[in-house]
Amino acid sequence: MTRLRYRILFAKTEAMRWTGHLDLQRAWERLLRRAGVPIAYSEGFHPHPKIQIGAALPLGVTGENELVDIETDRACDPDSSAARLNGHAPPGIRILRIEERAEGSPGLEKVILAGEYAAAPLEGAWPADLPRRIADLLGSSELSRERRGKKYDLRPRILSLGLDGNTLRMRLSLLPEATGRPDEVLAALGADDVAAEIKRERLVLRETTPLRNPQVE
Amino acid sequence: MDSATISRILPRILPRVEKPGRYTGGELNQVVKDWNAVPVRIALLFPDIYDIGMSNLGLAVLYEILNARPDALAERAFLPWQDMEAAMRREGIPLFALESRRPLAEFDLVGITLPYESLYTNALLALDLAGIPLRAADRGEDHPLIVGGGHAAFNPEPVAEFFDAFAIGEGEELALDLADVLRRRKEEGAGRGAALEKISRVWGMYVPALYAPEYRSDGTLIRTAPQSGKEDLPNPVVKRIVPRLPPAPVRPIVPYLETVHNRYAIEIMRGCTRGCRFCQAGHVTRPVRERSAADIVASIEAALANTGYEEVALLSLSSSDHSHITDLVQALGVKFGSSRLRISLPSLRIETVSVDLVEALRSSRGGNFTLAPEAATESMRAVLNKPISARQLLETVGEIYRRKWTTVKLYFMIGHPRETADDVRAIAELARAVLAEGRRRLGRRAEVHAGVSTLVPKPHTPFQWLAMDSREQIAAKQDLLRRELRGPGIKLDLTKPEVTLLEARLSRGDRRMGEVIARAWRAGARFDAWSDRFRPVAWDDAFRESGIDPAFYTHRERAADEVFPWDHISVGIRKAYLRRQYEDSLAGRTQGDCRRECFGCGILSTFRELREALPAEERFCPIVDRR
Repeated sequence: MTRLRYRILFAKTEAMRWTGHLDLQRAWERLLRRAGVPIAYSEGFHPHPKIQIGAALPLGVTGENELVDIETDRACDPDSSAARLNGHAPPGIRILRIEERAEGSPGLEKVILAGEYAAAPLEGAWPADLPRRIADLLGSSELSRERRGKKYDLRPRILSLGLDGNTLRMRLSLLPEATGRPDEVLAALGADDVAAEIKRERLVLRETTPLRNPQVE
Repeated sequence: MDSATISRILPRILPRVEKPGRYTGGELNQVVKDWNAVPVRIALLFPDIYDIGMSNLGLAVLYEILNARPDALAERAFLPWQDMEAAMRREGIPLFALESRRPLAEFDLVGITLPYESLYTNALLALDLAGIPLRAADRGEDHPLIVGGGHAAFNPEPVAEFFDAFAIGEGEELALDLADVLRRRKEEGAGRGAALEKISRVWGMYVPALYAPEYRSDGTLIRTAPQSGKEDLPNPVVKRIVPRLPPAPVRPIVPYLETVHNRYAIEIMRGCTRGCRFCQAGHVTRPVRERSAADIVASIEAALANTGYEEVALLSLSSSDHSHITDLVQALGVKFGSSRLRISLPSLRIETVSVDLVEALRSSRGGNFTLAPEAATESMRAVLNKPISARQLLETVGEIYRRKWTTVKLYFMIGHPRETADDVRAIAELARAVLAEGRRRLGRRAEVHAGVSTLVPKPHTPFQWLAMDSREQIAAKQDLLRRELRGPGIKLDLTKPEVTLLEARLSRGDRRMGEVIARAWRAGARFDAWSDRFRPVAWDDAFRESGIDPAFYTHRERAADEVFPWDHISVGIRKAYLRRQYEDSLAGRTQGDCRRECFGCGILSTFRELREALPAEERFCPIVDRR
């Protein structure tokens, strides 16, 4: 059976941002089924739908330009499928664009390099000396932190970091085994007691991929 | 605190709690109405966490029915988990509904569903978190009416003082009647007392403050009857039923989170004609009413289009007894056979035909198949009125393993009347025989799981006169099972005696139990259905401090003419019928399926008018010769 591959650019917002990666996966399966997209399944004892969501978003972080790859059993027109998917989308998922992807082209885990995040306090402001803390952090050669009981160095995962008015902007690595989390950066800055709204504004991709809306390196 | 403030605080606390999606609402198919444009506002509360409550079918049914009314809105509320409860208390956030984030105290009515008794303390926790006085008598004009419902409300007395009213029986039409009362109350500006007075005259509604129990010096009841001056109130309060099942919900909310049952569930049949004597559901849900195969298929189709679910559950108390089950399974095969839809058909009779039915719906190999023989000897099954032979069971099990289900789950109960050690040992022997059958077909891959619970003599069943096993008796029987039933391929799952005893005390209690529940709650009892949060000591202390001997409720064989705390609530079945069944049980006499022979349980006479108003082909309860 010929399989067709599509890459979908979407936004994950509202209540959807409080759901984890597996929940998002299930929400996508159900959305595709409601919209009648002929999703392909893997072979084997427990077939699963061919849906691959790029770099998981931390809980509570919204994503303005997220990516998911799907495979279908039949060809779908990208534009009309996007409209149909939006007609069936749950609150918090909005489809921005669909593009066909060539067979053999690399999957999302191979093309996503980094994410660009913007964090702003929900109420009040960042600590007054945040610029100095940022400079200190960027000046350090190592930032030892712990995630799920494992020690790792956060510093190389921070590609850039800076204040833009009241918005803290950061570019963090999303390479497998080297992902930087925005909440970890806030903690490293000692600013994690400030309740912030965090957005992933775009994914940074390798050049070989379609969907040029996410920034290309 | 208002909804805007709650909305402002939530984003600050949600990142710090487990599974924040429990508290946000905003799922697919959620209904959000304009608060100010709708006169009747009802909160539907399931007193456990979101993950459990969102799997409750009753909630989905009421949500869809009430929200279909232009003049009403219904929103959902659940209890927070410990981390969120602490955060809410710290921030002063009251329990709020998910849709509008309004505090429950702002609604006209809060409906609390009580499917089982271990939720009683959670109902108190919900009221406390909502800032609503726990006792109905302490509530003022501005508090919502607190209405309980569900199977645990068929004996409402233990929690009578905490509720303004109870909905007894089926809610589909009752909910609409209540909405009418609320609407008129608002138009007329009527007070709380006047509204409850009106509600007490709605068929199926019970307003406990208008009724009072009278006790003898030995603690037993003389009667529970309307207060003086209210003699015209219904006595007994007869449960509400719908003469025919209304269309099933087809636009259920689809949770983002993984909930206990995250699937489309449809009731294919309500009620049961089998008359298993221990089964409360089988008695309180009579008469049997079915949905047609065509309606079921159409509802599933519509619901799948609205939800995208990958799994459907066909619910009933005894699926094999649906009169068109074969047609239904065939129709589902035609419609969905080529899709990847998983369809489950639980609660099947123990016969090879059942295996055929499930096989026809099966989408993948392996997995487990559940059967409920309930007891392991023929004499015990006669006591229970669940007559299946061991040969029939083993034949069915052989078919199950032959078709490559690797695990057979068997449900048993201990604590039956006249049960001996041999009857208990027979459970182990039967489970081992089942495993041997599996080994013969599948070799060492075959497994058997035995779940053994303890009988609770429930209200409104023939066993309501029975003294249940003591803690020591239960422990001895469980020890016997642990010794006899072990080894590779066998898993034994026993219900803790403390859990069963609490269920029994709460389900059989009278109004004096209210003090025990309130004390236990204050001492920290809540989430009693969660083994890691259940605190038996809080309960033991509460009984002692209240001066109430729990054995009075559970370990006393009742006199034939004893008045029960639930006698003023009628499920449509005559007490004399239940008593005859109890005596038949002790004599080992069985009774057949009441579709073929009417045993005069009382349903037919209680609901005669309702039945006769239906077209002949839709009437419940065939009239056949009495024995």
